[in-house]
Amino acid sequence: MELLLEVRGLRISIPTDGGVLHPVRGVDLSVGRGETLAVVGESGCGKSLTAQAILGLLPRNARLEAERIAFDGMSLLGLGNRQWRQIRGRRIAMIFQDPMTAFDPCYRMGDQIAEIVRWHRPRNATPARMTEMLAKVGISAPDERLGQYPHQLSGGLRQRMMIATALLCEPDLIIADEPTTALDVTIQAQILRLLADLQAETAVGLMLITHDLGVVAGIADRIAVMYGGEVVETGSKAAILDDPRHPYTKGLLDCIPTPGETGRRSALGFIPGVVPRPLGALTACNFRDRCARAMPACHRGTVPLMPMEDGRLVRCRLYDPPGAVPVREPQKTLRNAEGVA
Amino acid sequence: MSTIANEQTNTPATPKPERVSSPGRLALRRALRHTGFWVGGVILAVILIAVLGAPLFTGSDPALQDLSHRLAPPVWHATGDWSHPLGTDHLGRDYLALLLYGGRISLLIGFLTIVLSSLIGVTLGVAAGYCGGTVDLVVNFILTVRLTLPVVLVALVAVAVLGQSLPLLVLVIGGLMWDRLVIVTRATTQQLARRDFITAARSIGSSMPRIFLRELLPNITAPLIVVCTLELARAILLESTLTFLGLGVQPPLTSWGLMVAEAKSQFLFRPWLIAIPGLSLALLILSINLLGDALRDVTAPDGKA
Amino acid sequence: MGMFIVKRLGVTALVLLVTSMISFSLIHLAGDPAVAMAGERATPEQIETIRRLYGFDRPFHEQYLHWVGNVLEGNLGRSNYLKEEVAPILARHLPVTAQLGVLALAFALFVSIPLGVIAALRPNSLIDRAALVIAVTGQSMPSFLSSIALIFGFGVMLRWLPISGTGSFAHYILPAIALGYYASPAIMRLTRSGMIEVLQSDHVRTARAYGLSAWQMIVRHGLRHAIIPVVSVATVQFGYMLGGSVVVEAVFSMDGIGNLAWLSIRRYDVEVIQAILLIVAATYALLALAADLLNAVLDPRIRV
Repeated sequence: MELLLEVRGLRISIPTDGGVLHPVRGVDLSVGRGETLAVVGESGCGKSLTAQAILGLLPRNARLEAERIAFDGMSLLGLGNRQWRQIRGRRIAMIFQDPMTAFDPCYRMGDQIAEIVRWHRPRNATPARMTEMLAKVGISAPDERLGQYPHQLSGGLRQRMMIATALLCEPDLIIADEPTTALDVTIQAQILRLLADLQAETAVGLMLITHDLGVVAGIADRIAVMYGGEVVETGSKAAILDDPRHPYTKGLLDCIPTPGETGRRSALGFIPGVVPRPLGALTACNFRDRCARAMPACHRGTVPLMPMEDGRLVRCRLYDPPGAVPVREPQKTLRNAEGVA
Repeated sequence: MSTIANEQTNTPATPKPERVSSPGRLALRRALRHTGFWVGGVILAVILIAVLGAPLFTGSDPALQDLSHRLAPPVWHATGDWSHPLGTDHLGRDYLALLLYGGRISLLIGFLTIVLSSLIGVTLGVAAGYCGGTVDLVVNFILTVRLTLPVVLVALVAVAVLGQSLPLLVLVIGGLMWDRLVIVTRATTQQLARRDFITAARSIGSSMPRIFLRELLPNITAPLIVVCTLELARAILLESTLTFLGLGVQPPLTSWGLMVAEAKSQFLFRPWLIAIPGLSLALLILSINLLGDALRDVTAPDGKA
Repeated sequence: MGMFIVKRLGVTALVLLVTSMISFSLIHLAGDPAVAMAGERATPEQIETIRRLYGFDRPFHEQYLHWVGNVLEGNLGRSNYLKEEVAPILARHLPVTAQLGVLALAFALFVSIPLGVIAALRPNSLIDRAALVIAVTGQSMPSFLSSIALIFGFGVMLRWLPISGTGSFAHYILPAIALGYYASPAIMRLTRSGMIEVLQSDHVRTARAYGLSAWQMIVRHGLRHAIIPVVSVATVQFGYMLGGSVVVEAVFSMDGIGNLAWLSIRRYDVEVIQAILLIVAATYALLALAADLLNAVLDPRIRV
């Protein structure tokens, strides 16, 4: 599969009064053309910041370092304003978590969508094309909706509008940051199905950021599980969901109620403790304090991401085979890419 | 687009300081790092010391007229001398003495005015915020009426009609300048009245004055001090304006506004006569405004230091 | 929406009624207007004549109702000092003040909105701090001082602009700056805080994430929101300017409403003072109403 997005060694640090925070500590991700990657983790694991970093949308006080962030073979590091405007929306479109506030309340939906689409794909900015796309994302009476203001639409409708906007820009990659979290449960399923269908139809790459390892990540081809600013396990959907290896991934899956099961296994699992504050550099496994299977080795040094026999990568001492070689040594020489934002 | 930054987006909260300090201590610590607090505080302190300690800095009597020494230039002028460091005015009065003693009047009127207007403002504001309903509607209406009255015009008319004395000036300015106090007190009280400790006090049958004194007042002092400081600046400004128009402080008393007014005809040839009281006035109001802004910053709960 | 306007109009009328009652009683209850009007050397007979002529001998409420009745019929009374109907006097002076007020507001908006936006784009930068200093200084400068300073600087030293009268457009420049300068800090601060808030909002992030231009982000999706509260404040400030123009008009010798008010107060020209108070209050009340309606137009969420 052709590589569309490649992120290598992404680090984000934020200086605060209480010390430097490291919400993202060296993340590698990739999305192939037409592929769906789900990035899964609890809130605070750095998944949203990773998404923002890819589009150069980090908060101004955040510092970004990365060996490589490349899109379609072109580096996204150190881009200027003008170059970003050619990428954002046109090549990589974003769908946000909260559809209630993502649109400007002062303008009619049609005007807002047209404003964005006109810049990237002028031929799509016609009422006919817009109506057609709205119908495609399942909006009834699209003509009427285009004349309405955001506050007159429900959350589900607005998220469909957002998806339509993204598709009208004909991007190669859509980054959806918790696209269903703010919606009612029934609407969540509809929007997810819509995203999955449209992705299959248009062959757009999809990077799906979610905390839901079960349902949401279920539409992905591959899954990357993040914890404390690191990828702790990544592999095919089948590998992760059917045979999780990392204790954290297992914990996440145990938190998901499974219908039809009885007995002790039906008891919902939970992961004790909370995500540690990302203060200072790591000296050991980040998950050791919450891990039921922590052992002395976990407290000694950082844990590398190791390849398994089925091609997946796991960051856990449990799977340390004697003499195995980590995927890559921790990199010391990082390109400082300040000014990307 | 580097011009826009979402400073708060996804930024993890700053770690809590190890020692939890009281709000007052915290405000003080923030204040000591606040430029506006220092600048405003130092200017105001200098003015207060000079004005309150007037006899220490000048031996002259501000009321003493000496027509043989009219319009003497200040000491930096070629013909100036140290007997009158800032020169004399058109009646031969020592300008430094006038300035120092005149400042007392401006400050006095300002402070008395704030006492009066905060009495009115806090009463109306607390009543509206605490009782709500009809009381709130009535206070709101009174506030709207007050805002509709043009302050300078009404004050001019009142002073012209009722006569020109110092107590009356205080009454008029104080009676007109309580609008912001009502707005702030009402909003703060409304927030507080919904909080649990007020409900608790109500439920154990505490009387209204008791709730007001023990529960409400301590909690609205911080915003109140901020508004009072800023209103003090406005009151001094309004006094000087009325006086400048000839309907405020009257001779033989003097204030900085009056000094500017009396020097108006001289301003082409003796600009210092206007510049000295004018700058003093502007600096006084500026320092109070700076201090008020600083107090607002340091007492803000979100801690914009 | 219709209901809202009707309600607001009702409140406005009530406010004006109370306002006029206050100003009327202020003038009539305080002393004996007849004595003041007649002057110091008037004989008791002369005072009595004035008293009867103006109806000061009648009970207060009768006088007030009589006055309100006349005003509603469009009769503002007759000036005792100028020996002329009040309405044409006002008609002569109003354009000067209106022109001054509009120019002053234009100056205030022209300076403070761009300054507020720039300050908000770079919070805590040098520009932001400079803007803050300008704002605090503006609040601290009594308008009679800024007027005198402007006259001295631009009129006397540089000799660029005329310093008194209303002969030409140039005559309005310095007074408009003096009057507008006092109003600009409030507008600047409001623009700044509004912009800082809106630039952090999700819909601006959307605009940015979809590659819209700086202009689209800052003006179409930013300022468009931040301007909503500014509109109300600017409208209200315009109302203040009409009252505050007393000082500026006096210093620059402009014969507008403010100067007329000041002179009439000194001449104890009761009917003129009353008419001016009413007109200024009514203008303010109508502007406040207009501000509310403008808000509804600017913010589609308020519209019903």
